[in-house]
Amino acid sequence: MKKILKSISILLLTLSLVACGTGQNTASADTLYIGIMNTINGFNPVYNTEAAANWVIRMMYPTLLDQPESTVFESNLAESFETTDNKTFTVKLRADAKWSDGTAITADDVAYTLNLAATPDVESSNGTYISTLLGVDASGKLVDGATSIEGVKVVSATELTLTTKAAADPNYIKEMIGFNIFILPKHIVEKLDTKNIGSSTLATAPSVFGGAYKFVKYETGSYVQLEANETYYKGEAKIKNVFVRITDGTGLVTGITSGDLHLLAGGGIGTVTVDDLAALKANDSLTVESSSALSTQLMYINNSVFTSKEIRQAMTYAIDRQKIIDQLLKGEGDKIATMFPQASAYYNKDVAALDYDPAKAKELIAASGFDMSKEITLLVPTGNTIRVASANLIEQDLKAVGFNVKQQTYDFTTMLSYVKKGEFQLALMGLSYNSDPDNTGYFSSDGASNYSKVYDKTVDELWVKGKQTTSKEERLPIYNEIQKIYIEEAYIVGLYSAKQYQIKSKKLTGGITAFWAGSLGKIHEWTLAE
Amino acid sequence: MGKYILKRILIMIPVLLMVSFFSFLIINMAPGDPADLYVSPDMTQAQIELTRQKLGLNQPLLVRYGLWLWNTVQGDLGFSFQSRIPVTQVLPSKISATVQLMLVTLVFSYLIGIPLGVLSAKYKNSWFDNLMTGFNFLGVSIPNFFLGLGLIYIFSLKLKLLPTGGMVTLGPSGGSLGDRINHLILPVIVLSTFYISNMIRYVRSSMIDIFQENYMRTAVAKGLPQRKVLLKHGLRNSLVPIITIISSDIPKLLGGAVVTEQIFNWPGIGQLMMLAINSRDYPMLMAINLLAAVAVLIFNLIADIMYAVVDPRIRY
Repeated sequence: MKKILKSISILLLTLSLVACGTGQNTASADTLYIGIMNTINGFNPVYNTEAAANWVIRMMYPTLLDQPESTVFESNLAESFETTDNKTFTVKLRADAKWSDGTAITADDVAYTLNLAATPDVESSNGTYISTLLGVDASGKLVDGATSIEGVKVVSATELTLTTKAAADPNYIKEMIGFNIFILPKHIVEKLDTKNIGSSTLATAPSVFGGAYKFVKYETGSYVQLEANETYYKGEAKIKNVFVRITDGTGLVTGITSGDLHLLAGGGIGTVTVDDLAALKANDSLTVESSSALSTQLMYINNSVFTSKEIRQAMTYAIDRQKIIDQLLKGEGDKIATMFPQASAYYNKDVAALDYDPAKAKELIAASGFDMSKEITLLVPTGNTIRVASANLIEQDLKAVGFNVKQQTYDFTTMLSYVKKGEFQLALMGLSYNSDPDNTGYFSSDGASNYSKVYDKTVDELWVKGKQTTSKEERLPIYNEIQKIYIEEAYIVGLYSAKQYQIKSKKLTGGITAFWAGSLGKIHEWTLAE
Repeated sequence: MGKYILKRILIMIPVLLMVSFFSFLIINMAPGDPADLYVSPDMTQAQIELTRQKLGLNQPLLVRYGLWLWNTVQGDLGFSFQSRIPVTQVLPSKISATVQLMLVTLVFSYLIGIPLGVLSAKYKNSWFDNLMTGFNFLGVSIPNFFLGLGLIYIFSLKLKLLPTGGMVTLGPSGGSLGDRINHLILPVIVLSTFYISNMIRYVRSSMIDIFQENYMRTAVAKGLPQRKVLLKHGLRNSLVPIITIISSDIPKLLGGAVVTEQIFNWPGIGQLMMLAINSRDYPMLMAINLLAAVAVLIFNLIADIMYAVVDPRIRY
């Protein structure tokens, strides 16, 4: 028996020695650690449809403009971006801008970037952004026979003009082309096989940059390493190294609590659940703020199944949205009536929403003669825990007024495939938006993502009119009208818009802002205390 | 023996073909179109079609399998749908991360599990044996994620002794041997809890059986020292069932590490697999499947060879 005790004590001793190790490393002040939840889809600035990738690419490439707030645009690569007729935009570039290899950034690079997106056979997510330009079709591709976009003219090394097909709101053009499109180094990209740009070195291991940071390394699914670009025209970034660490929600909480992370990426890509928020707020070393987000959670109704307006209204009346916000979001969310979130400049707070009224719902059901024994399936995607929990409340509410609802949970991709095919009745889904209120792709008859199968001519016309109108004052009533129709017809059920959080270590000066998409404009000025 | 090994290796080829075909079928039959994940909702149909075409999704299933097979035979596993980086470029660092974690875990588990099992059998029904049985119950039944999060809470957040995750500290201060060991400790403890318990149980029962054998009694009667009886006659003979366990443990670690790799943000195959599944990254999934199949087949073969080594009665 003595021997057992002896061997056990040796074992314990070894374990404790190993455990002592070298202790934890503390980060030096020139290295910033950012936590992100979504994995990064590569670094293709021509084709990036995923918010996380887009966010990291923004650190590496210049855009013509910055967008610090939803309706505010500031100069970035472009010193000025002006128009007198809302059709022809004159863009003047900074003369001192250089790529990281020393080559000047010129109007040719800008024109090349736009033309590349328009080239048939080049896979580009910028197509939609440039589709307003003269000489391209609705997908943003060159019209037959053209070799370059008619609406893009280089005037000099630092000046070019952009011409649109029809007059447009300058803010729309500024956001879509000025802010959303990353300018590429022509002298590098033109040497690549642009037909397969997605698998070229530009996308997988880029080497020349014009933004605040340069790409160093990507460990798939694990982290991205960046270093300051010393030639950056706004000035070399004060924080020399950035690591964007990919982890799950729990990893974000443990990381920021332990000090391994300095900043959570925020937006939809690096956020914590409301349950963890209280503990983080109580932590003295962190700053935690929240703000309304440009995103919504919706219950999609398949309008080709539920053709009766009364039934759709009954569903809307039946769901207690305030309860979802109070119980699940602990108040950290806004109630919404349509697809417009409160953070949108076009949100109409005067449109009377169909509020929680189960009695009214029952009345409508009784009047409609709808067969209430019919089983209705509510598709719920996994991933967002609040949304999954909200499905239970929604199911209860709908059952309470007599709907025979059953939940069906899938992973997001599976659910999306059913929703796209129209093989669904009800489905929960979140959307996030540009600042511009145009959402033709999601909510017009021929939009590629018209999941709710709404075919309403009046709404279609309003979307078109909204896109062609050039000032916010004139556009407001148009989008108000759309919101009114959506509430009256109850095409979809707006549920809530969860607040987004800005969570960072107090050591970090800078960090993400309330208008999340524009948070990186001053990343070169961020500093980190020892 | 040589002929036997050759035969076994040749049998692997049709097995792998079948595994690859059926996994290709199943992966592609799963609902969810990968192209949906790589387009944004405001894109037009024409743009979406272009992406499908670039991913090769516009061809019929069998043609795609044929192409995949033809390329795979030539060593080209395709590119990841998600990052468009060649699969063969992503895999090596992931394999090495998982193998590191796996090797340390297995060696650690066996170094602890086997001696404890032997002692448990020798002092059957003593307080020590009861203690071990209790530990086994706990070790086999405690979920990895619970143990993992518990350890992170205690050692990383409260005591601030160990990192919360990752393989090394990212940045200039990381990468030293001590740093690597620090990052290994928690995941290894979590993974090995199960394997140690498992090993103790098997070694214990196998040894108890062996103690009944006549040759053990003979060895004791001959007056051999107790240690020699236990290790040379006892343990060696109990190794046959244990080799079976070990050879099935190794491929299982690839799977068992999924949860642990997620919790500790370990950049290995398990994490990559979860990522690939969620993003319908077919080429990546196929490569991981193939890798797992090869690992199972090879370790089965090794186990069969080892049987012959430890037990001279087994001949091929």
